[in-house]
Amino acid sequence: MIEHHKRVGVRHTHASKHNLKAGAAIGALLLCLTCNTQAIAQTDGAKTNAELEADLAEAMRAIEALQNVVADLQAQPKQPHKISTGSEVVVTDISEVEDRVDELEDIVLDMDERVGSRAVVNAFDASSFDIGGFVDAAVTGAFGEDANEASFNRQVFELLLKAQIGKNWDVFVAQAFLRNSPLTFSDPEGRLAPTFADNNSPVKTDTVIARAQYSHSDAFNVQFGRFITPAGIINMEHFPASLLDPEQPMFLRPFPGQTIFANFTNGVNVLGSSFSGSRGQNKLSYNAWGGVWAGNATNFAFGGRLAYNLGDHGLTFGVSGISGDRSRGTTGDRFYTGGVDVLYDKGKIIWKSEAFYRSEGAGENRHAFYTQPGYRIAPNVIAFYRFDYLDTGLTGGESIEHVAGLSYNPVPNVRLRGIYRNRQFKDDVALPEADVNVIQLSTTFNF
Amino acid sequence: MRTYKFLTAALCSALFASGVAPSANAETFVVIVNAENSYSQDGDVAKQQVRRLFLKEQSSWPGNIEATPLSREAGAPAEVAFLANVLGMTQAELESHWLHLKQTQGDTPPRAVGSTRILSRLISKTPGAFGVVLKSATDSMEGVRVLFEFDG
Repeated sequence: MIEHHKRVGVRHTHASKHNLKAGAAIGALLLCLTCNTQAIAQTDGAKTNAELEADLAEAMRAIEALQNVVADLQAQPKQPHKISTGSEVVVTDISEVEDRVDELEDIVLDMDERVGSRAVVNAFDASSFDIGGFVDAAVTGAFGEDANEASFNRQVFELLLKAQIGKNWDVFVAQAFLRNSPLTFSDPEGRLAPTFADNNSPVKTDTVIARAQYSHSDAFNVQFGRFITPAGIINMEHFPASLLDPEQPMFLRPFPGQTIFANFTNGVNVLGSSFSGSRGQNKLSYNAWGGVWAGNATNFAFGGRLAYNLGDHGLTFGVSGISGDRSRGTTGDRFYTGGVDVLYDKGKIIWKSEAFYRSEGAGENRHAFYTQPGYRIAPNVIAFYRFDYLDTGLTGGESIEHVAGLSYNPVPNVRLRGIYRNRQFKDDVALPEADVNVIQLSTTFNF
Repeated sequence: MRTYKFLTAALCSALFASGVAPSANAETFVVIVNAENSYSQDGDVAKQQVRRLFLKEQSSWPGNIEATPLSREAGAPAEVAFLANVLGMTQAELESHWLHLKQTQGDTPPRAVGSTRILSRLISKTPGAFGVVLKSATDSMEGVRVLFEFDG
């Protein structure tokens, strides 16, 4: 250790000379300042303003001189070590080698700590394999006009797996394991409130995503399999770890469903993006897809989405369109969906808005709109509000929801939320108005 | 007396303003790329390009060379400077970005490399690789070139 310090001392000799020069110059100036100050203090009241100005001018000249010295020192090129004897050269070389060995030992120790005596896992035929996932849980209390109910209603464990197969191909799978204990709350007229997930099967597994992707370039990629329907903003964000409100806006419920469009699609999705602007700061992205709602071969749909992001302004505009046929050729069951969305995400504000219209061949048309401003109180705390409107076109299907919530990330991989929502069902044929207040605490741990 | 104290304070302020004190913390960092990388832009255009590649919004350099971004360890001076001056993001925003990418596409953040020597060696062996180092550390590096520099 002593030897090491000696060697470090040899290397630092040259720098020390520079420091001495600078130190001497600073000392001289400080001495000058001190003298001036003392002189001023001793002759308090005796000196005229002109004399004081002269003193000040002198001190400023001293500062200027010091600035020149500092500039000279900074401009001086670093001199190579002046080593006079062969033994000192050897000492310097050994020192460098020891530094490198120390560095390598640190890396080996780090690897040993990670692997140790554990087995190293290989993916069968993938060139790389990543695994992650999350646990999401919620406790919900619903306070309605006739009844109050509460439950630890949602427990989701989801695995995320990605395997790279060669240069251009990869597979991505999100497999969910759900255990729901749904609230049995219902309003006097039998309208379930709140309507969150499809709770007919409280215990189930769900393959959320299972797609292969061929990546040709940034502008052209093709996905095959099951993917999240590329429409709007929040449906594409999808995962609870990313969401301020994991229940999502009303038009995406029940989950998974197809109130306005199917949350998921089995089929083909072509996607890509390109950049524009003087610095390439703007981004145009597109999706064009076709497929069926999972498990229903007669429910074919195709659609697309275009989005343009103004990078400097934090603004993204999107349009989505979908055309579908629920029974292959029966014109009465054709539907067309159009939607626009705007995202503003810059600084402390994150604001999402989406509006969708669905024209039905048979039955009433459907409308949905929400706007959700959020404010970053701190880097890891976001407060948000959402006004949410949905008209499903069905009897008693028109409702408004006000949501206020707080999301807190104590560490990046943990999200805690507290959400209050008030849902108001509009009166309809033979159905009076009804409303329900819901409080939900939820947490998502992801890895 | 108050006038003299003011003068003294003004002089001391001028001394600090002259740059003696702050220069101790000012470090210059550079983004280095493989020496074979033909990308020739600099300034803000290069910064924006590196930003897109690092955040995996884009996967290839112009000329279709697959990009391999390499990161530094969280909290390291080079990483802090890169985050503030090239990515223009806070740590929380960056983590949120990677979380979103992981969940929706299965993408992972760039590999973090602690050692500057190993980082430069990796970049010199991988055509599309890039990373951030101290400008003063580039003197002894081979097989890499500086794309642009920025202040810490």
